[in-house]
Amino acid sequence: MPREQIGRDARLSLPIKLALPLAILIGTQLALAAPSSAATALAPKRIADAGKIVYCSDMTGPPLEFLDENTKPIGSDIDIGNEIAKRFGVQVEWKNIPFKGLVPALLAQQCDAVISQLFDKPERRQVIDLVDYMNSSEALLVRAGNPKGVHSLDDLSGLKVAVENGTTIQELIEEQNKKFAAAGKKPADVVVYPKDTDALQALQIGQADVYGTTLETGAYYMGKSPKTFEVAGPPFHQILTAIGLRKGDDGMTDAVQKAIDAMKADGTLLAILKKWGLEGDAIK
Amino acid sequence: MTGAAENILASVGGLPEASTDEVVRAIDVRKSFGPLQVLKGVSLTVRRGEVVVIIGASGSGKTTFVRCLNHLEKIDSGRILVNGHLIGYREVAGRLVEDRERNIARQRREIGMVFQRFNLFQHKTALGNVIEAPVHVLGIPKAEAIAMGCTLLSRVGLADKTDAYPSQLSGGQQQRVAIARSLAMKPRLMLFDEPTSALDPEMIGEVLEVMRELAREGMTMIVVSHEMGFAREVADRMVMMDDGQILEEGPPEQFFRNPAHKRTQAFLSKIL
Amino acid sequence: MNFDWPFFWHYLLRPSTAYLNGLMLTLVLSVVAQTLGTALGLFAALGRMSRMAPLRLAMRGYIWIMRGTPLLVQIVFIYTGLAAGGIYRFEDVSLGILTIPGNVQAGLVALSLNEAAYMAEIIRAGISSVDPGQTEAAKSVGMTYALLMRRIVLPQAARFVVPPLGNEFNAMLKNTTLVSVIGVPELLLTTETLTSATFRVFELYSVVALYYLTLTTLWGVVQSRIELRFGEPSQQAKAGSGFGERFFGSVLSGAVRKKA
Repeated sequence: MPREQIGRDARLSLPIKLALPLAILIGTQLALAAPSSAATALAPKRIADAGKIVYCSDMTGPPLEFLDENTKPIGSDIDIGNEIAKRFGVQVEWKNIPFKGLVPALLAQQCDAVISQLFDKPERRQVIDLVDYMNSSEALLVRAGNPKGVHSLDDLSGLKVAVENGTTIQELIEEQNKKFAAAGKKPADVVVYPKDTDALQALQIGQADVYGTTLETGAYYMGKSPKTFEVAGPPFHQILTAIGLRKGDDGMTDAVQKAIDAMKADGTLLAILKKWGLEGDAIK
Repeated sequence: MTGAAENILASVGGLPEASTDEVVRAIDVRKSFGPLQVLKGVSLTVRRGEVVVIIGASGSGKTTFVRCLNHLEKIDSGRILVNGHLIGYREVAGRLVEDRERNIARQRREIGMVFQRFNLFQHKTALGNVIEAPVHVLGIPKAEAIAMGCTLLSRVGLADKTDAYPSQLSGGQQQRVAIARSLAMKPRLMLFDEPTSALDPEMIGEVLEVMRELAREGMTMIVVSHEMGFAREVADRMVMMDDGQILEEGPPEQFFRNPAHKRTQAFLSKIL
Repeated sequence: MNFDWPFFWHYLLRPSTAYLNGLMLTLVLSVVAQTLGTALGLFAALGRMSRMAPLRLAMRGYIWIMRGTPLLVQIVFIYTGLAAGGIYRFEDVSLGILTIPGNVQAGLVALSLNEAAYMAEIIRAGISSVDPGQTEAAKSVGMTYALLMRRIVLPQAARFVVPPLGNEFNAMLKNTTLVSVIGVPELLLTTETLTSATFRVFELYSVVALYYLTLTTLWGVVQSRIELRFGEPSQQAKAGSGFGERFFGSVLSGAVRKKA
């Protein structure tokens, strides 16, 4: 008796078993398709058609972009990127790419925009478009107590400095090394790491004396572990920070600029920066 | 071969002094390879200057027994004394404990062994093979060893082959080098494990010639072989092994003419 | 195709000082790690065949772990892991005019230890390939194990070890790229730094690929020469077929070679 019942149940649920994945598939397609009808006039056609915007970011730069314990992207840049997508009326996808690979990925059309505390520099403008949205500064992070007495780039002679590959601070220190060479001083020993967190760790476990990073990230770590880290000396090299976009990409640059302007005007941008303690970096 | 083998042992300073009259004394040697019992109680005594030839079917244990004599194989029970010393083991409270490698190596210096497949050191010349152990085991100065080695090689008819590598020598030549290599250590006993079985027929003669001369010069030899002509001519005693035991032994004439055991008869009739 | 040919040729044919330093470091790391790895591998191989059970088991365990975990993991473990765990930190060592940074030392240690495990297996296989009759003959003329290994077995095992050793060095040249993750400025990291400054990924990676190809090809030529010299007369006759011989040779020793 039980056997027959099971057989019958199996026969009944078989069509359901087939139908279920199909239903999910169709449902997903509908869901994905939905945004194109939800896309606003602000969104460029290409993004509207795709129904989503893909951002590239290096998720090792708190508090602007980093991962929580569930490896979900969080941070002020994440919030800004999500806000832009909302104003475009499209879904969002975040790709985690090491910093040095961000612009190449953008140029290779692996993403639509780079939001990753990207500094507005002339050599970058030659390759991509930039839409400024905040300021950033550089800082030097050292172990609490500042045992090597570092106050500025000038104090780095002969010290080991850890940096993330491709960052501006890396360039600044290399420029400083040229000054040291001209003055006959020992250069700073720059150790280049693939990820920002690797460079921080080097400082933490004593493999480096100084960790060169942005003020925002440096202050974040100091805030989290004041007994371990401190920012050495005043921040320097304040610079505009921008969203990176491909040149001539279907009006993307205009659209993003408009979105940012709107966010400035209605206070959304400032609110996001405030949430992450970065209101000092707002563009006046 | 260039000239008959002559005065071979003179090149190593003559026949080594024997400390005992009994060069080999094997007492009830037993050995198994796993579940297979290969030696089932072999006892044999060999005196100074004796030439003993061991024959038997394959699997009779003759090669295994000879390899036990220089401890290339371990034994399970029994005793083997070579030159008066227990070989391979020390006696501790009546039980056999395996001896230290150093001691076994030292004992092997006095026992020469010639293998069926020659086993010459491939990366050394003929002369190199002969002087290797005298120089590195006995510490003999190289020049002295070279002089002895050259003489030794010429006495076995290989004067012109001192700088040849084994791969450049014929089987018969290689085996003669192997014999010279063993003799260079001045052993008191020479073991031969089917020394001509891997040789082409035309080369067997030159090797047997050397062995015959050694016997004539008074070397104590134990030879496992099928060469009956050689055995008849040179052996002081024949030993027939079968199924892990010594079936029969005796002087060659009596052995060949009047073997006591049926199995001996059968074996001999097949090979003679 | 978007490829800046003048840029490519410039970086290919006129390498900067930093680039040449990176190349030099790659070569130094490869040669030193391979040499140390081979020497340690010999110890490990002999230890693995030892009659002393603790030594034998320790060597088997070491070989098992180093061959069973990725080289990248080993590198990060040895440099960053040990330091983070408060166990050992590699400090810069100053030898007169030359300073060896901690991460270079750690990279060398990791590469050598890893290579030693693979060489141990190769050497063990080489020793097993030597005719056991050689050992028996050596024993029968009174040689101890140590003496017969040194004089008779290892010299003959060398013939079997040389071809796979050549393949290992080929892999080593490429494996040095992995120490870039702990900041060692070898050729790849130098390229990556250059890429981040100039954004020309395609051109610069083409250049560095050609550099590595040149290194491995040059080594391949040296390797064939060495194999010819070490080979048996029969092998020397076969070696005349050149490329084909090397292909079949590497297929046979592929089992002990790791991917880089």
